[in-house]
Amino acid sequence: MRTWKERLGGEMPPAWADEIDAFEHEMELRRQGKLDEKVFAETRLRRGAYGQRYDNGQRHDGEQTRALNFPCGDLTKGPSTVWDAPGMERIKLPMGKVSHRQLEVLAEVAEEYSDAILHVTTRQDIQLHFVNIDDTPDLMRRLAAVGITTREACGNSVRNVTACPYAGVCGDASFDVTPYANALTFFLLGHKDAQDFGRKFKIAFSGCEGHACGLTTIHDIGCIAAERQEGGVTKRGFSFYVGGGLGAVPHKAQLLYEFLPEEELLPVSQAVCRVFARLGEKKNRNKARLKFLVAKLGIDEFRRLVEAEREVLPEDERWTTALTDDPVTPEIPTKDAAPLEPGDYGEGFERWRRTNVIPQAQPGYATAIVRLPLGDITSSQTRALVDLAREHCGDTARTTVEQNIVYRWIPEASLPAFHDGLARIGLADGGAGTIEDITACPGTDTCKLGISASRGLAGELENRLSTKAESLDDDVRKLRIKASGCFNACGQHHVSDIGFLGVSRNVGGRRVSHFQLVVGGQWTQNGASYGLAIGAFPSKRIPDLVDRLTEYWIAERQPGERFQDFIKRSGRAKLKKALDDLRHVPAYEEDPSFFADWGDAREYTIGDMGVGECAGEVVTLAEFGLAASEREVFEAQLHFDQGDALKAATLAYGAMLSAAKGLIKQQNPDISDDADAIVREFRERFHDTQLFHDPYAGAKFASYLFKTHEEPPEKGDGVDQEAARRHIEEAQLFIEAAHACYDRMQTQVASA
Amino acid sequence: MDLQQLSVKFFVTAGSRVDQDALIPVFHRWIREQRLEERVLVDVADYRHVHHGPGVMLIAHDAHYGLDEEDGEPGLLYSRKRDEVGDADDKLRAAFDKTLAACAHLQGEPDLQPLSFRGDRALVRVQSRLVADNSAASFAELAPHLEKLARALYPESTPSVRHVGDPRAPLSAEISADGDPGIEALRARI
Repeated sequence: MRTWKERLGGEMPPAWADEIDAFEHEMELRRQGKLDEKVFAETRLRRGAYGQRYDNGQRHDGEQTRALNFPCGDLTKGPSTVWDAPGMERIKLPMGKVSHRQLEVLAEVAEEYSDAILHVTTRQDIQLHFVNIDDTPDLMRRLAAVGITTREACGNSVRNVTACPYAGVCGDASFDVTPYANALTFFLLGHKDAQDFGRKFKIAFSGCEGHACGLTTIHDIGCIAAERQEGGVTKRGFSFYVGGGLGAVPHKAQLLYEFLPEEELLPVSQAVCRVFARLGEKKNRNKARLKFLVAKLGIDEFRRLVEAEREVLPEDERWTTALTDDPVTPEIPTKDAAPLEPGDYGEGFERWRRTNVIPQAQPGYATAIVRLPLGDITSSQTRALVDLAREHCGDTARTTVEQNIVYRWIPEASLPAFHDGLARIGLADGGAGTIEDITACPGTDTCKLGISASRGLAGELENRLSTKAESLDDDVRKLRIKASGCFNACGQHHVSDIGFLGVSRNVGGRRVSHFQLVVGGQWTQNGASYGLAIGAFPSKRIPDLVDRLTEYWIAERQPGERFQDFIKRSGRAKLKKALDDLRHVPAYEEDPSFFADWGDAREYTIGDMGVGECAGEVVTLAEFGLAASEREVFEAQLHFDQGDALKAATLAYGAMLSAAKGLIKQQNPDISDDADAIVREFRERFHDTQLFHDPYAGAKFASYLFKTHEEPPEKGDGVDQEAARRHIEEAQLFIEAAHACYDRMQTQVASA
Repeated sequence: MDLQQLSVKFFVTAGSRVDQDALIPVFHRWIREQRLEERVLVDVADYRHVHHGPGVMLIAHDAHYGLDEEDGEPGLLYSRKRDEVGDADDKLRAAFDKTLAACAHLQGEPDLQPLSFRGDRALVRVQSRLVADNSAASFAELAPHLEKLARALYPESTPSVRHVGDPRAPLSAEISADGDPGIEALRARI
């Protein structure tokens, strides 16, 4: 039987295929114990292969914590992370853009490697859960063959670049941000200046100031499309923000440039990355996001550093060519524009149309939001949705940060048929962007950091609110609810009208799941302000709390007073008082249901929490270089075994260069890939200083690199199996010496 | 044909009540009691909110179980995730054995009643598209194995095996028989 690698060989971009092969080789090295678990953890995270709850090999079954005895035994894929334990694969969809064919393949891989559910995240990714790491290389190959990479979906890297899902079709946008977001995505993907961060780095684009869609205020870099008249010419650019972020300590992004011209978007973003890599915190992960660096330095000093960095950046032609050479294919509508004919299309259609349909800037076309409950859609539904979209819509869809899917370019006349098609697959619910359309992170369902069942709560609230949505006050219906399972705020609760984050409380010697209430955050204007924390309430009282809070607002508000203004005017103390009785937890004997979380029959515990991987592992550039050299020498052995002596010798030489380059990067992060430059700097920095010298063998191992560099293995050079074996052995010894050298350097740093 | 990632579904009877809410504590207890013959029972996944979705699932290392509601036809779905190379007939028998065992366990759960499974119809899928696509040619390869199994399961009737499903779906086939011998009888015949 042919493998996926063989079958898809010609369909993947060669560089992506090589990266996946490299990851597979690193997996093998880890299995053999030849790659450190911390380095492998960050490597896998940078391929989107994330941990999941219980992957430490333990689970509380409601009575006691028991070991999950996976067949892999002691093999780990990261610190305290069991190899065989199910994990999550995060799949980046830049700008949330996904074609019909890509969705079909996502449906396939969800069916085969996951649980047949595609989960849309709050950052426009798709996540698959319960994936075994052994399946991930083939999963990645199948995605790569349709133009999707999972590279840098997790770990301390530039995460999925998000953008307004209405880009290009919204009448309020200055211009379509899609090509710019796309250019920045692929410019920074794997960029050397974005490999040495202490934490993750998030970028978002918005087409306008007013709407929420891009949520630029909560990102490390937030770009809002702007135009300016210069000499009678309309010039494109961006209001450029930095240092935003949610989490336990939310920061609103600060304005770095009122108007950054489009040609400066890539170089200035690169300069920001360099400042972050150079000065960002690396040891204390709780202070390592860019927001802390910007706050510490102040925006003016941060701007000065960015400009100094920008000044010395080597010119890169991609700064401009990336904006034009790889243009985003214009979306092609399936049908010509046509207005909706007057008629009776039924109450269900009208309700759906009111909340889920947005007229496009292009007359006769509309955009429809397909509501996905808790962001989930099955593989079968996905295929049916694709069929429907092929009939009525443009050739791509966009996922949204509210965990839905948006279809664009639907002729208005086709909306009833599109709605009917959605109804047939159970996806015709109205209420998009209203109180019944709740956003939630995975929480305790699958996240290692989850404290409370955010999805369980969201499901419960959606059930209750959807049954009475039509009877709610219009203003109440327009409110948004978002829930996070912990303070890390993946549910983006800070920017919702009513937000919740999971916490726990000890009541009578037992743990009880609670949610901290955060109210009055502003969703519009790209998430303009963050909410006010009121206090913690038992999970099981949250539905009553939502009723109480909304009724209280309607009863107490001044004429025309917005929810945010009402919250500000009322203040924390008054709100707390109005809700105070809902904090009560009855005794266990009286009502044990309070001691279990939503959708979970077990008695509540926080014992299943693990160490999160959001922060990734801080792995130095040297460690990455050494890991790469290990992989290359492993690949050299594979080619040697296959009788390809020249390839084996060449890879062995490359492995030495990688190890040397890794060491140099500790001192000069800008070292190029040029072999001459690497060897020259290695000689100056490590050989001449005797830093690389072995206590017993002296310069012997360094000489292997110099000798091979002088006479690199070349075609026709008579590289036979014996010579290849010698090259591999020398490379292995050089890599060992590099490890020893790195250890000595670390010891010196620690002593200093 | 090296059957990888088989799934088998037995549908509920007309008079059954499908109570996904009640299934949650049952599956948690099954994990605690190691009720199923699986190497590692990991967790319970809740997809009650998904229309015609997989419902509440019991996640194991080698396979998933759930009261699946795809196409509006609820049934116990056993879905194999990890496989070794092996004989097709053995793998089919093993998958049916696991599915029927889970059906029998569910039928015995007091909190889920009334719940029973039809023994006269089963959906079989080969989820791995590396092994097969959902084409007539792939079905022709699979059919003799299914027919052999069907004859063993339904010796008293002439069972039929037919190719079903969207061409993009995993290779899918349905086995049906004239009479329903019941889940326990089928288990005995595996």
